[in-house]
Amino acid sequence: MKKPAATSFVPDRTQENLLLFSVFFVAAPHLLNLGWAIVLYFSLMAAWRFASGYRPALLPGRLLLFLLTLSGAALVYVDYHRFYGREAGSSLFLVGLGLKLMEMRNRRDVYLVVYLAFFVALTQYLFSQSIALAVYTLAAVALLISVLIGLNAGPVLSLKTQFRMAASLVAQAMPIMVVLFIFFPRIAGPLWKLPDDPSSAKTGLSDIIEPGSVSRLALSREPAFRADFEGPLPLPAERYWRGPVFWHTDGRRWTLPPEQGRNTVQAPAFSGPAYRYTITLEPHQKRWVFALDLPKVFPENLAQTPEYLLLTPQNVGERRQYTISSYPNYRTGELSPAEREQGLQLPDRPSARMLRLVERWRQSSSDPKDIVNKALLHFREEPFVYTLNPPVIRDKPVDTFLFETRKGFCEHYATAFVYLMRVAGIPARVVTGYQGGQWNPVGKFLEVRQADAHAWAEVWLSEQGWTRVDPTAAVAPHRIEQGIDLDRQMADHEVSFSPVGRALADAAFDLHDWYDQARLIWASVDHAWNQRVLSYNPENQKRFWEALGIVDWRGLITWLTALLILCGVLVGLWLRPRRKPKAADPAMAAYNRFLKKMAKNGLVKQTGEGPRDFALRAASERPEAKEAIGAITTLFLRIRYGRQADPRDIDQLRRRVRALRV
Amino acid sequence: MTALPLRERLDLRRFLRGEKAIDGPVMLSHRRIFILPSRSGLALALLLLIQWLTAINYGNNLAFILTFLLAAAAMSSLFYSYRNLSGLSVGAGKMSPVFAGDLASFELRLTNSAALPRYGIELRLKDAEALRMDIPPEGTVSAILRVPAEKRGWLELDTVTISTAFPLGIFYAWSPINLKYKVLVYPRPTQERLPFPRSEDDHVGARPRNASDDFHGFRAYQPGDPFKHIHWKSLAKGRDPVIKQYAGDETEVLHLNWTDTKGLDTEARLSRFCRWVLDAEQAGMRYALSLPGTTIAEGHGASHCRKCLESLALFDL
Repeated sequence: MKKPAATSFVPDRTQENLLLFSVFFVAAPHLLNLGWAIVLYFSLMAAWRFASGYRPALLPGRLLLFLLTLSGAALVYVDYHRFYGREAGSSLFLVGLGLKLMEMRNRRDVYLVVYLAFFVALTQYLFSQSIALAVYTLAAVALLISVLIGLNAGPVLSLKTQFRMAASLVAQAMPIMVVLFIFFPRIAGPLWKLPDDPSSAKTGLSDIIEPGSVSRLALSREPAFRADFEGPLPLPAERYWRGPVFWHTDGRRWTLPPEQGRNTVQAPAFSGPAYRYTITLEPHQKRWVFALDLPKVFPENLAQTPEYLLLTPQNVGERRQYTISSYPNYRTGELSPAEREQGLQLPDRPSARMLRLVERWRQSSSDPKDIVNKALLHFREEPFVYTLNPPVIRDKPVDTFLFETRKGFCEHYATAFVYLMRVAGIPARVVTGYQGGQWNPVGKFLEVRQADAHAWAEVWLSEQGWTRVDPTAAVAPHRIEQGIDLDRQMADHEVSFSPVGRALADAAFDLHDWYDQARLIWASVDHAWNQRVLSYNPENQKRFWEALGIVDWRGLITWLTALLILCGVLVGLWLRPRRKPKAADPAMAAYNRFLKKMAKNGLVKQTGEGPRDFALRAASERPEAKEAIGAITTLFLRIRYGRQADPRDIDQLRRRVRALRV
Repeated sequence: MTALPLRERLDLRRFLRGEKAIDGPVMLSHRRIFILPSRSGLALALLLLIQWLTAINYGNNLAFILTFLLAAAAMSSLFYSYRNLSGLSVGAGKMSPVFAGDLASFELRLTNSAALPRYGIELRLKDAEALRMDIPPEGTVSAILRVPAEKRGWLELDTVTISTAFPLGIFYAWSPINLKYKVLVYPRPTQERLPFPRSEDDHVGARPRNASDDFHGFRAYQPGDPFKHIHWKSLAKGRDPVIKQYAGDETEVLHLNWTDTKGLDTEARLSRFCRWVLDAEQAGMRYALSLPGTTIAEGHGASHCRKCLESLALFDL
């Protein structure tokens, strides 16, 4: 192996600043993924290095560097209590990158920094694989490549050329990358056990309900799942996608029952039409599969809880597809004593005003159905407000919400309603899941986003069994019928975060229709990105190979080699040495413009006809332009064949040609 | 370019030693350019392996894309490395003799006939420090390689390696060049000044002369004329330099004979002669040199001096 250069070439100021900028650019998206302290630490290191480019005395010594290393490691440990796993590992690499910036002294260090930066870019994909991030890192890769080009070319290369060269290198790499992506054999992972990463970074429903646990999703446009229906679509009011069901509350927080020792599932009596659909579930790091109320037929590897929620054997860590049939009309069976007890559980004695309210309803009718309707009427007629920004309630949240603040999101209404039902002696429980979904006419699928997360109630009535009641529908019926419309809500100030956001929302409202269109197209692009690019796994690869007739490794090698050679030839052709175009003769160009003008008038110079002969013929046909034609021809001949060139002639020739009217 | 015999083509030494030396400019082509990953390239391979394993482990397709994109960019950069050297021609520049113990200068002229600038070209001779240069489109750059001249005689240019790490530094493209390019090394003159030898048949040898008595006239200055004979007064008036000629000069002939340096080894003897030739030339004397097998008749001036030094350099070689 040969050494590339004994002369250790250290980048100059511009190149070093470019390096710092590129590294910072690469690391920036981690602000969304990692603790702010980690990102701050890295930014501090980068800024420090930048400053010491101007005052080298600022660079830390050995001891300080050691202390910085220790504090960086401590920062990671304090944030995550470990050094492996997705968050902690990514943080460690980011901290390492910052530290390496501080002791970057020679060529080798620059390479180490750039390679580390490439890896930091990769760790971002463990958090998000969106198209936007893909495009962003493409730019980041081009920047880092331009840093390497600058390092190897030396100071004669201008920044512009440097960037252009990096961009064309990346452009040339694209087809090769596509070939490798499709044909390079995939191995099913994981190769070693993945450390169980905390799922907090994934948005989705949580396994507790407290004020704010659903509404925190309300502005997330991220898809939760997409459903392709085989027959007709369910009505908007039927689009309740069942998630975890909550029985137990401590007055503020609702928790899930333990998974072991549950009753067996009582099969409901189904009637009416069924909907058959395939859902593509986004990874959410939980076992729940969201099915329309209520699922009857589902894949064998799914289990069902007594509350009719479908469960996967393991947490959903990657995109999965399930085909399910659901019946909107159903009747569940009897209530067991244990369930009745759970369905009436209350943490403490209800407040006096709550008791008074419920007593009033019970006096008018003893039928549970009437009491349910009375409660819904109460929500509809009293000044309750459906909002994303409810006031924070410190204690007795249900009581305070019902009688004082009266502002809340769906989880407030669902939990308060269930609480009231239990006070009235009607078994009730809280169901979370998604409600609604947006039809995508481009991709022909129903898209359910995190913003569609919803909480509703179920009461047990003796004739029907568990019956769905949605108190939110009483307060904000449009939420159920039209689905959550983020833009309209923001514009109506129902959902708003800040005055700035409000002003922006107002401005955006005019663009609403146009924006709706764009979002639909974007959603189907995203769906295609997921289906085609992100879910290209070993099985899909095998299927694709079979479609191409690749059955063994020999066929694969033939394809791979042939395509790589093709790409190589293309790159080679692109890079082939090209002749410098001859500097155009300005006199000839002006004369050609003159000929073009004449040709427009039917006077075409014949091949073999000299300029002088052509001028004579043209002058006889167009006597009015005789003087101009003569002057142009004389000037042209003088410039081309004259003994001494007068620089003013060419200007005059151009002027005469421009002024010529025939 | 002629075809290379198969045996020579497959000879691995060609990678480092290059092909047989030729006179004219050497054109770098696919036959002469070799490319291997550099140390940074191997490190990149390691990085790609780690990235690939991470991508498999997380089943992360964007990680695969990034890994493959970097691999693809590395592959494309191979073409740039090749293109950076391909089509350059390397020729020998002018020759200037040196004395043993000094540094010999070999001038290499790198011509870029393409409309494409060449960046970060390095020239290296054995383990010496590399020379780094950029060659503009359709331009020529001269590089001077300095080699210590240890022994008198012909000093041949060793294999010169032209290399580049451009554009990404992950591939090292090189071409070993052998040019027929040699520089004559004169013997090293003895350091201390020595009196001119006196021999029996040379009576005028080092006789101190009374120069002012024998003033003869002026003639035009020629390169190699001793400074002390320049007529400074007329030069100061802005005229062309002229030389004062002395009548005595014509009779003052120094005969340098091989036998004058008996008792020393050959190299030491040649060093003495070298000293005398230089001193005599500087003193403006006429001198003749006779060595076993070579005799140079009396003369004076730069070309006479060079002739003497050449025969000293090549004596008995």
